[in-house]
Amino acid sequence: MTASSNTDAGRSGTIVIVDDEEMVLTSLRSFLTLETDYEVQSFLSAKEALQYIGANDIDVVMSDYLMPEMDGISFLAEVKKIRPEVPRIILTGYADKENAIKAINDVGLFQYIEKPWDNDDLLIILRNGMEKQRLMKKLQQKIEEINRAYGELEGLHKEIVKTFV
Amino acid sequence: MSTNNEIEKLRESEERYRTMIEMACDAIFVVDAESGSVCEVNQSGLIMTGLAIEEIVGRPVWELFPEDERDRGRELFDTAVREERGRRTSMHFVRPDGGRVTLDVTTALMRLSGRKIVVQVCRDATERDEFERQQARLSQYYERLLDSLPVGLGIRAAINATPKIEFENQTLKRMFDTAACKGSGITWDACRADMDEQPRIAITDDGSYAEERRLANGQTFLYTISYVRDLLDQWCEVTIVQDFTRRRQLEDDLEQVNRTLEARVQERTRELEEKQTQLAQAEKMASLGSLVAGVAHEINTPLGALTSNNDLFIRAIVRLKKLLDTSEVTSDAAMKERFDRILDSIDEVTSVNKTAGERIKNIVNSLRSFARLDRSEKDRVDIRDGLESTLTLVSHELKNRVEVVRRYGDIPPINCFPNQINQVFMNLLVNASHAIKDKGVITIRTALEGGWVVVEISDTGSGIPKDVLPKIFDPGFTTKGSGVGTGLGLSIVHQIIQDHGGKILVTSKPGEGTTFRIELPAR
Ligand SMILES: Nc1ncnc2c1ncn2[C@@H]1O[C@H](COP(=O)(O)OP(=O)(O)O)[C@@H](O)[C@H]1O
Ligand SMILES: [Mg+2]
Repeated sequence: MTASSNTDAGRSGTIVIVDDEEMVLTSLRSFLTLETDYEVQSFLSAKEALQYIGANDIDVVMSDYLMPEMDGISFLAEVKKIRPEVPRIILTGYADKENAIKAINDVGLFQYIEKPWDNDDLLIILRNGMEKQRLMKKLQQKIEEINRAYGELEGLHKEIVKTFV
Repeated sequence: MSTNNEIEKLRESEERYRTMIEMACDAIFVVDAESGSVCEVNQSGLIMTGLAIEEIVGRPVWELFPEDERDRGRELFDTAVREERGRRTSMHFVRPDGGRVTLDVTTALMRLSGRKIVVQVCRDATERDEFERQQARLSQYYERLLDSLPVGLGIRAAINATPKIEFENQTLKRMFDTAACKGSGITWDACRADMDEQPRIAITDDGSYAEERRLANGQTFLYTISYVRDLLDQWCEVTIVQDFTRRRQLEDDLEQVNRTLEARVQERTRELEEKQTQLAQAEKMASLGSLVAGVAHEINTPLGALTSNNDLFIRAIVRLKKLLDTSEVTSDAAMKERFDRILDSIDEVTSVNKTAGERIKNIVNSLRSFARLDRSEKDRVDIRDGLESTLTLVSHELKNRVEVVRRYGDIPPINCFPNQINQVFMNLLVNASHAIKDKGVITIRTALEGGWVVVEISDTGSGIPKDVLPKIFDPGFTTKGSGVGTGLGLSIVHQIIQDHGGKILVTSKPGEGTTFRIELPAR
């Protein structure tokens, strides 16, 4: 990795990319490797990707729309079940905005990108996704902290009650 | 002996003569030509007069008649004597019972044994008169019968070169006693010359023949003509004439109705064919839609890879240049120039690649918007967008050869089926391009004119000849060779515009060009 040349240093994270076309995976991986510090995990099969996502911490998922064994929408719906906090992006070559928008609402997608995509747009969307994920994570941490503090407070309260009653 | 014989003969002849007179049914008076008095009378004479023989013999013969007839009786006698020949006349007579009868009276002057006598034969004419009256009544009856026939009946003697009319019944007379016939001098037996068309002739089983004669004034008659021998055994032509005007009129009306029906059936068939054409076209569009969707997907994936990779090249070169600037590899001027030349040529082609990629993207987008995957949806669109995406699609046909001039005036978006409207533009633009054989101009004008959105597509092509112009919207009409033109383009255009409540107008000058003007309701 050429981390030193990365203009987005300090914003690194893990991206999972799924497409049944090797050429798309290669293009995206090469581009992101050149322009970002993200760790790119690419899969030709949605099932393998699901296995990986189940076992590893990830930040953004991006998937093709039309794929032979499992289509992008079903795949992202599965991802939502495993990791609801992870932003999901659909990459569509079908150029059918209406279907894509419907999918966004149904499955709760973060964004859709049309093929052929624009690399600058792609970068912005990914960055925003990462940002969202980071904020979500932070929020989660804060909630946990509050919960913990509340738990401690509650324990204290019980002790006080026990002591005085 | 001989004298005796002669006397005997004479006696015999007189006997025979007397017997004859006695036996006759007619009353016979033998009158002396000198005095006029009756010499002899037969039995029938006695019965007729009711007088005794003594009362008659010796009396002037005219005194036998009633007083008012005596002068004529006298005259009759005088004439017989004077003219010495037979004469016959009718006289009144009063019978013994007082009844007045008519006598047929024949008088003749004769010589008997050197003496002049007048023989007056009287026959009772009552029976004959009665017979004649009956005869007359009978013929009147038949005549009335014939007159009351609902058909015209005419009889002509047929043998003559100019047949003479022997009989025509009232019906026949009435038939031709109309203003129309009289005005043109038409009679039943001479109306052939005035006929409107060849008669329809049919020979019937009984040997007569029927012929329909239609006059120029619109009247139609059916003639049934047969030949029979008359009482004198001469051939005559019996013609029965029926007025067929009404019936012929009905037949004509029926034929007319049939014709209209047939025309209507043809019209319906044509409409059906049109609908079928449209349906086939709609199917074509539907399959084109899914084809385009598939193609768009298939192209966009590798295109995405290509454009992304090209973008990567551009970015990589920028980085490489920066890197080289700080590297000692290029401190040598000659070396730097070699590097720069390589990098510059890469720069050049990557920018061309970028343009090419955008072009492909554009074409796919046009194809997509032309086929409108949401084709069944009505939409409010600015049809200038449709014109543009259609132009992109036909640009390969126009390139370098046809200049496109856009005179887009402001128009509001209209409610329409965008894919159909695009197809209209496509068909018109392709036709315009075909009409321009070498180089030329297509001018597209849009405007809002009093509630109508107007699109005019003009070309400087070959134009349309006057005799072709009315046919160009017919389905299947094409002047392009088979395999080139389908002749469907304009019929589909027409149908689509009609479906949108619009109008389409053509003006064309052969050799100068053609303008198709489309008007669509703005609201
Ligand atoms: N812009 C035009 N200039 C001259 N002729 C035209 C033009 N548009 C249509 N036509 C005539 O009308 C005919 C019918 O057109 P169309 O229905 O589109 O069928 P096609 O193009 O398959 O012949 C053409 O064959 C051509 O003769
Ligand atoms: Mg045509």
